[in-house]
Amino acid sequence: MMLEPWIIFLADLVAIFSIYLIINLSLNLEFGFAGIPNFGKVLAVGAGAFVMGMLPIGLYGVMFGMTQHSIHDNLEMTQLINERLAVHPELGFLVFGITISVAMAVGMLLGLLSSYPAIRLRGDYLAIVLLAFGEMIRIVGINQEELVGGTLGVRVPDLLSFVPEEYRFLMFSVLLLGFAGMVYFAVSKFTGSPVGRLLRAMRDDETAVQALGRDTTKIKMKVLMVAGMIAALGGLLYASYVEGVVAFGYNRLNWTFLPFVMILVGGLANNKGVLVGTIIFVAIRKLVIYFNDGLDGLIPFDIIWLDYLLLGGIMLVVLMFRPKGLMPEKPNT
Amino acid sequence: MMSDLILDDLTKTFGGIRAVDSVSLTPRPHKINLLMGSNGSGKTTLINCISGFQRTSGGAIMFCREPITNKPPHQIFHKGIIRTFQTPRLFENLSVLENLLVAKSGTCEGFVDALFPKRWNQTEKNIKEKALSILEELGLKELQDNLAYDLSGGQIKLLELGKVLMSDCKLVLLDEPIAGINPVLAHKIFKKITQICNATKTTFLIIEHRLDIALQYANFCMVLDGGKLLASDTPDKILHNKKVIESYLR
Repeated sequence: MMLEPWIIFLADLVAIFSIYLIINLSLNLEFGFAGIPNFGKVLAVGAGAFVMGMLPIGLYGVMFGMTQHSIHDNLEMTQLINERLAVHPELGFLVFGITISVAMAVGMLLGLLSSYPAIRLRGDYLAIVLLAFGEMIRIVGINQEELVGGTLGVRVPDLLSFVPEEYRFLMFSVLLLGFAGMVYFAVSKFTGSPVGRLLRAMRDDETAVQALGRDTTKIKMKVLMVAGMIAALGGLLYASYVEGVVAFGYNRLNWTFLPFVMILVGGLANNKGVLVGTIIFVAIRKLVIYFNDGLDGLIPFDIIWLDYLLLGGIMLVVLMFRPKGLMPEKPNT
Repeated sequence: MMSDLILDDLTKTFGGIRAVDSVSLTPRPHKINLLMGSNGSGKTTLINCISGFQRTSGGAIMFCREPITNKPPHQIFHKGIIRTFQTPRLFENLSVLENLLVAKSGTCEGFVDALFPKRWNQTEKNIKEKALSILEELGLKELQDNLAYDLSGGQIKLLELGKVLMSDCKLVLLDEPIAGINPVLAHKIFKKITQICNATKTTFLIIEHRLDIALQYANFCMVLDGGKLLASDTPDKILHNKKVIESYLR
């Protein structure tokens, strides 16, 4: 049975929304709440995806006694693994769980690593250093073929191989929405606690927070670790969803700048605002892509620029007329 | 009486400039100590060194018999020292009540605990009660939900005082607590400081230029001139000290 195009559209929308929501919540924690301008968001996202590209295939290889090379014979291996997972779904979930734990640990570690400049730097300087950190992941991924296949990339085993072909897509969207819901719940609990208040205070005036007995270096470090962990989960889920990892895909536009735009439009330090900003932006992007052919010829420029122009335009309008975003932050008492 | 704070030969240089030059002083414990001096005499630098915001170039700082020289600001706070700034530093996007809640350090701020409200709900409730009573005392209760950004100059100074009250610190360093506010409110603030000082046995070290008001409440005065300690005495005697008068007329 073929799915209706609108169902595919909706399922894809939900999936991409869920992934971006996870990543945006982590960025909001850093930038919206703690005031850390993490322009290297792509670092943890890419790391999560890279772990997904490397670890499961290696684990399955050992479990199933495969002798092929995980990069050079990647297509053959994933095909065989998917066939086995269709019969033993429990193995798929076990490996998926292990991969999530490892990816989150790696994200946390990278957060710790990138927090070192935070000890001495603030504002613009910190942003530039974090931007440089973010660039590393793509460059290393492209040039280090042994990681995720260099410029060609790798395929990722399909966790839901046991589900009939026509429902797999839908089920994955539901799974991703479930993850996004859990992250939203946890982040809301976190930011609604006294810690959230402390982070907002640190963002407003770091010096004053130090004068009130808080070690802001340690706090920033912890925030970058927690946010790195969440972003890595987002990257991992994206790689699972598209069933592959290509290092080129982990660029600063998609995984740093767009998340910034989404949280700025939605409202910094407001998780509901992040939700709204993410829905608006993902929906616009998807609609433009969906109606790509119909719109071509109606506009005086190449259609591929339309979503960027629209997104940029919306951001400008929101920043001009509602500088605190569509849903400004609220006191937490 | 043993002083809480002892500065011994404290020096702070910026290149060739000796902003604080071998200053040794012992503010009176549990009293209001006024740190006087013309602009550029080194008062704020001295407070910055005590509170850990600037590293000293020489000398030692003791608080409650413990050396605190060059410790970072957050550690200094945990020793029982709180400071305010010449330009008030409020958390502008936080409500008035939240500003006070943040001033209570180290309470229920574990990153893991944050996910379990049961672990911090009761403490948070107690802190909130204390904050609300302080706001009532300062006449700011009806503004508790307003953003600190929306407060007037006088209300900002009161809120700064509220943060001091929340902290329960033993030594309070105030940098110009009545700068730019009307005399009525200025007296109200100093009366409040006196009341806190007497009730909680807190030591105050206050920088203030409005001597007409501040001297009415101070118990002890110290005067800096060109980074050096020029005189330290009771307010009456300081007012008649020729060196002090000359330093202000120069």
